[in-house]
Amino acid sequence: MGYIVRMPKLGLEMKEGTLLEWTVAEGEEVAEGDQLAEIESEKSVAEVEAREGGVLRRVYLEVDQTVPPSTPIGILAAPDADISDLEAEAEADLAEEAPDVAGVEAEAAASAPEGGGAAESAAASAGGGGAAGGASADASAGADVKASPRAEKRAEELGVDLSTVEGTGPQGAITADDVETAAESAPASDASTEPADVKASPRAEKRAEELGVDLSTVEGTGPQGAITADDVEAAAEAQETAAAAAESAPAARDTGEIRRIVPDDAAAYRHERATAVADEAGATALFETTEAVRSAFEERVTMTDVLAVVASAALADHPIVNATYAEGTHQLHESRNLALAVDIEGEPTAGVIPDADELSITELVEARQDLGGDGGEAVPTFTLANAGETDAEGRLVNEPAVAALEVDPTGQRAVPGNDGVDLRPLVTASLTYDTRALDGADAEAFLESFFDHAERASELVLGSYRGRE
Amino acid sequence: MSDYTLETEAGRREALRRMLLIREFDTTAGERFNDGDIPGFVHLYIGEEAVGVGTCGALEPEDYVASTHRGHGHCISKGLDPELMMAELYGKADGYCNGKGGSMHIADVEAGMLGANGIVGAGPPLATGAALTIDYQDRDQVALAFGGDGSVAQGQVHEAVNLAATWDLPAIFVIENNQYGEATPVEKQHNVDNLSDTAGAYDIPGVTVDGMDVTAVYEAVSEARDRALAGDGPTLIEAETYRYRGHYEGDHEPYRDEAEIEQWRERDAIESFKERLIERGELTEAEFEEMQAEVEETIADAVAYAKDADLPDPEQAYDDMFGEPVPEIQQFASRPRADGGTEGGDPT
Repeated sequence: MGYIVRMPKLGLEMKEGTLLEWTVAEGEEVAEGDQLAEIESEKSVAEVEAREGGVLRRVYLEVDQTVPPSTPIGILAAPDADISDLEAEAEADLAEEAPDVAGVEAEAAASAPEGGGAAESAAASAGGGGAAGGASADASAGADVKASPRAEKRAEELGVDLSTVEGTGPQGAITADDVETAAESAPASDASTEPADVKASPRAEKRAEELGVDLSTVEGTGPQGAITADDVEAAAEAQETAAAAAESAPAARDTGEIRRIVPDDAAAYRHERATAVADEAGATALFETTEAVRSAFEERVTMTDVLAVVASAALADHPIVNATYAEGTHQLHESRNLALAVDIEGEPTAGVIPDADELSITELVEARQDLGGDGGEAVPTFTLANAGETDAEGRLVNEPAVAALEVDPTGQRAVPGNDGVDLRPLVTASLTYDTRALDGADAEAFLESFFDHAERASELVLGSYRGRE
Repeated sequence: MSDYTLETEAGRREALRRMLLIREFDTTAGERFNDGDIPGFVHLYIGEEAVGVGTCGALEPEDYVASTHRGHGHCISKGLDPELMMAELYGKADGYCNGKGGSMHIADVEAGMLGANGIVGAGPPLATGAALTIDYQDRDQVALAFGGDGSVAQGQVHEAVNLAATWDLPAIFVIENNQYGEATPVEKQHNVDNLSDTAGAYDIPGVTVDGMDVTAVYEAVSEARDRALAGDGPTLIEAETYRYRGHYEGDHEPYRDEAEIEQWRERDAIESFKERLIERGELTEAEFEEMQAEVEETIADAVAYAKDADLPDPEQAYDDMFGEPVPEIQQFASRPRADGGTEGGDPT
């Protein structure tokens, strides 16, 4: 018999797996069901078991290498079985399925693969490399503690500091057994690591998790002093009151938080982004208005100020965008507290201009220039970023505000002109919105309104100038 | 009579063979999925073989069975062909649903298999409907639904059992309590000690049997079938069993430990039934090994067959969707394909 051991496919979504450990060495004998290797995929660890008894005859994958599921990683067969067919199949698969593995291996062997010989040379070096795999200390970062994820998990469970554990695994890596041994030999005194037994109903436990309440601080009023969901809610309220009181000192708000998220972030699931491009009239108006105001009245005006005026007008049309979302409530706000976002060394930072809609352009400029100062404690209801001044990746969110607008006026568009091609300004605007409060149609409507107002930017700015000075 | 019954020596050997066949089929299906051969998802029946085999041994070929997402064992118990099943898992045109159903939708109405089902608790309404047909046409058949422990808390299961009970339909509901609804232990899902206690709500008999004992399951279902045929309405049977594999292949199973699995393995349905047959002098160890080898060959052949079989034509995607041809679909189906035609292609 014998078979090709492959990187297992664990579930529907698995894209690739990393070999953490060969638990048997090449040439070692195993029984059916014995663990052959440990692999990691998307942060979880799984064992590769022997489907039959035999000897691990070939090893195609080294520790820390990552391959897609179903890639051959070894061959298990009886010690004397002829495995040439299995080898041929595995090597063909390796050459076909995982060119990058072949590439890496070939590089390691310092043999440039050429043409059709790539498969053989890659596979051969893979086999050879694998034999030495366990021992070829891969000069990995020295200070790093080498431990298998399972060991890390055990260490966390048992409260063991990994840096104090001696590893007995391959390359001195710490195994789960090492952690257990260390835990046993540790002074068994630390009673505090044992969580106090808190009696609480499952619903209470759930509420506590939702509200971020530490159950050990809650007094129970249920049967036998058990904590009920009501107790948790009361405790959460008390916590909030206390927190609000503590907040009079200017500390970081834990609700108001500006940051950038990328689609992989856990938070991204509730933030979507809609993008629109200004038509030429809108784009031109934004630039011309900025220039006109600068030369005529106020040299300190930048496009950011003009964008703030335009955004404010669009918010007046779409009050649901000028809002916050917290504790299940989409709260609309009368005052437009505009957070202006700038990226400082790649980190988004925002200052809030309270009641931005009531300011003249001059006041707006002053407020903007003053943002670095005391800042104020106003909760932002909307966030604006002039992306021309940043080059950060990711969606801008500023919770609890439900939407953040990034306008990028730096683009150029080529249009046929008299002498060939003319370059015209291209302005794009992206609204990142909290899907619990807004949907795509809301976002698109807002963007459309934003560009409509952009076309009459000069009126808006002049209005704000004349009307109030 | 059924194609096997636990009343005869030959029938008991056949029951053992089917349990082995299920285990080999699902072991292989798991390995093939693991190696990336099988698209989609597989939920394996390994450990629960006695429930499917004991149940179907008590049924007649014309009886109906509605299955679950963990349905390979039900299909084999009901006499479906492992080759066509494996071809379905591989998504091949020769499969039971022309490769369009996969692991979770194997159906063969001719053979009385109303279908596996990806929806938790979707089997009982099908069985109640089939039982209504039987009742209406006054036929001597029963309709049986499998469901998991999780399905007992589903609204549609309540509706199905209630209706079947109220109308005294010839239905049987077999709850395979494998101790976990996905990752949730049964005691955290239900407020009753035994899931069969819920039968009281419908004033029908409810029994809990050892689902690791093929004979116990067979006897309970036989009795339920007699009752159904006599016009006395449905029975709810809870079979206490255990799946050795995760909820799905690739499940990391943080909700249980190796020791618990080992404990259930000690009561393995195949092993204990084999021992019993040997004790009764109905089987020898050598015969068992021969049986095992035959089963392995059958499944190896099924895999070879499935691997070699053709994929369905892309046009077949439109087949079997509507009873009557729908002009809009026909029109859509006859349009040039994206992989061959120019329609909707690159604007450059």
